[in-house]
Amino acid sequence: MKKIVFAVSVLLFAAVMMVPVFAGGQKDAEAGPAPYTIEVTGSTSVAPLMETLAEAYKSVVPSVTINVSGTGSSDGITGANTGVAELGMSSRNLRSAELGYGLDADTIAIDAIAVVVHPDNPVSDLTLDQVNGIYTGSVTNWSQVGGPDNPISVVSREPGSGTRGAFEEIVEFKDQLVAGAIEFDGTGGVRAAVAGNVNAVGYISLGSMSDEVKSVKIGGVEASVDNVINNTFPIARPFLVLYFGDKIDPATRSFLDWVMTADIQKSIVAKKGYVPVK
Amino acid sequence: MNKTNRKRIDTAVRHLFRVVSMFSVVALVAMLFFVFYQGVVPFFTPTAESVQVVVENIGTITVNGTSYEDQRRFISIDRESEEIRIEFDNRGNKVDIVIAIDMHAEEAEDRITFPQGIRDQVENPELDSYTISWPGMIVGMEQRVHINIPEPPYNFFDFLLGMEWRPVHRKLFGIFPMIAATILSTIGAVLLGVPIALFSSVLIAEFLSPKPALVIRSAIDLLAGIPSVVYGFFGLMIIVPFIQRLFGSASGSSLVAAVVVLSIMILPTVVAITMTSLKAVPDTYREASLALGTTKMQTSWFIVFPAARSGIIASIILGTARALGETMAVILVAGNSPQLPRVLTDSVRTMTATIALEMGYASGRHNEMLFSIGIILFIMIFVLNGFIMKLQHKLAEAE
Repeated sequence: MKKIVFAVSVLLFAAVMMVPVFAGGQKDAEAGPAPYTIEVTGSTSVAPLMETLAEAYKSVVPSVTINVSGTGSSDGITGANTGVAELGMSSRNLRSAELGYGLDADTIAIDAIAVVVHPDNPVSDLTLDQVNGIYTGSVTNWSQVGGPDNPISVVSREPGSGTRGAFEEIVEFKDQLVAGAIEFDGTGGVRAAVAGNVNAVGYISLGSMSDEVKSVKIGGVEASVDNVINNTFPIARPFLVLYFGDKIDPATRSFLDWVMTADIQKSIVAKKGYVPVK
Repeated sequence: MNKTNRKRIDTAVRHLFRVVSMFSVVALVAMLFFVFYQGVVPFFTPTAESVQVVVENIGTITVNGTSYEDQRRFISIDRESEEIRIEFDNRGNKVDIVIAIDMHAEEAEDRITFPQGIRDQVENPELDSYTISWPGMIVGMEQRVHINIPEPPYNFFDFLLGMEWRPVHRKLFGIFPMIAATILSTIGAVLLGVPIALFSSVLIAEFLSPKPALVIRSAIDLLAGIPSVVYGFFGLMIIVPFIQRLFGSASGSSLVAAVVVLSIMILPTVVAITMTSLKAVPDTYREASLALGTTKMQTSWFIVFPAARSGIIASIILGTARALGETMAVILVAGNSPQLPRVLTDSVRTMTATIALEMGYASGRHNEMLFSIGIILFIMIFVLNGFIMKLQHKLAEAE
């Protein structure tokens, strides 16, 4: 008797847990032809662009749902490799230990990294060498780069971030960040830290710029889409989508083809403040 | 209907309880196993079994006599082999190089030796990882060979006592500054927060009349329910700029900001438990003391307080544990620089902050090292818990 009661209660419990599964299945069956969900994971810098693209694609092909989660570039590369997600997003080039996974990498946009300061900071032009000096610790006061006599508060992203990796590579201070630099995860954190401190300097994706912070010219060149296209603004990196070319679903392939069309590159990618690749 | 039915329900509920209560044990064991399994790996095993080669934009390549066609995955080199011989065709010229490897060398630079002719084509983007480039047919199609040498197991003492946390390119995983930051911010929060909490709980429990006591009590209870990220946000917007102005430092994100925020956060924990244990002291103690002619202050300080001490110590330890484990609020105000603080206004990074900041971005050994930090944190909590148990045992004996 006891055992039967036990078995029944376990079954009931299991049945309750299963309800959402069946409910979900029914809903799917009602939707249009060949419903398909594309899982996309990775870089927090690419995620805002990918979300906009996903939303726009929904109105073009309603049967395809695209789930975007921003967790970090390394996570995106690992996710695409292990099959957790069909598409991975990365805001940096693959490291040599990751190249051997055999993933295909498509560049869907190019993003400039803007060096930003507080709007009240009179400094508006820095050279790449000065930026390097600030981030490696040889420049510690704004007066050394033509500003007021205030100490510089260096703000950076956390180690492993795609934005930081690209920035360190271009400004040439790989793992040489000055001790005492403030580190935040996410573009929003860096922006808020710079917006709240007149002594601060940080770097963020050009697509995430806002009026709270002021973008600094690098060697006299403004951070803008046009200056990246004509190759005068030096700090730019690719936004990559990673996948196994022989494994992806036709629905995913047609989404990628749609993203790469000149029309979409112009109407969505360029409008969001990124550099189109077509 | 009745008796048997009731019995059945009882049995079912009992089984349900048994399953549910087993859940916490299973969860704990699973979590510990997971953390330990991942966390001890970097100290015992190298990052890979053998040297790995990856090629880019090279159609046909021969490595140590084996020919590969459009190879995109890793090419593993035999463990016994002391050289890598690479042959391929670069824009019509035949490339044939022999690279010597010695996996047992102490220094990273000695593990690989490139032939004289190609040294200026070699880059070393990260420790134990080399890239050799040849010009391609068009710009952007450079032919590259990447060589990844397995890193030997990491020395545990370099991990525990190392001063540098440079996880990406230089692969240095020293967490001593983080251990120091965790301990310092916890001690600071206890020194600042516990006296405030003890004084206010004595006031509420012993002196105030029911109405104002209720007001303060509800305020403290509400404080306990505020999510930690809100504390952090408050700290970021109010305390950090205030500290910056007060000390005139470059940035207010600092150890002292973390201490202030943490001390506010531990208030409700300490106050709630202290108050409960003060209230639990029988009124006969107070009456006896007052009857002997002491003042109310003397009574609460010398009679009630000592009588409630085991509860008070428990509350302090719980507050300490809260400060030790707090992550989100600290990330927002401490500045997260992995350096040993020399002054109170230096930016610091705690161990929990490191895990939360870098988990999504870490790969390979860096990722495993975050689990190792988790083990160290677990050990710290374990020691703290053992300390309480011993203390409570001693107190119980003394009474």
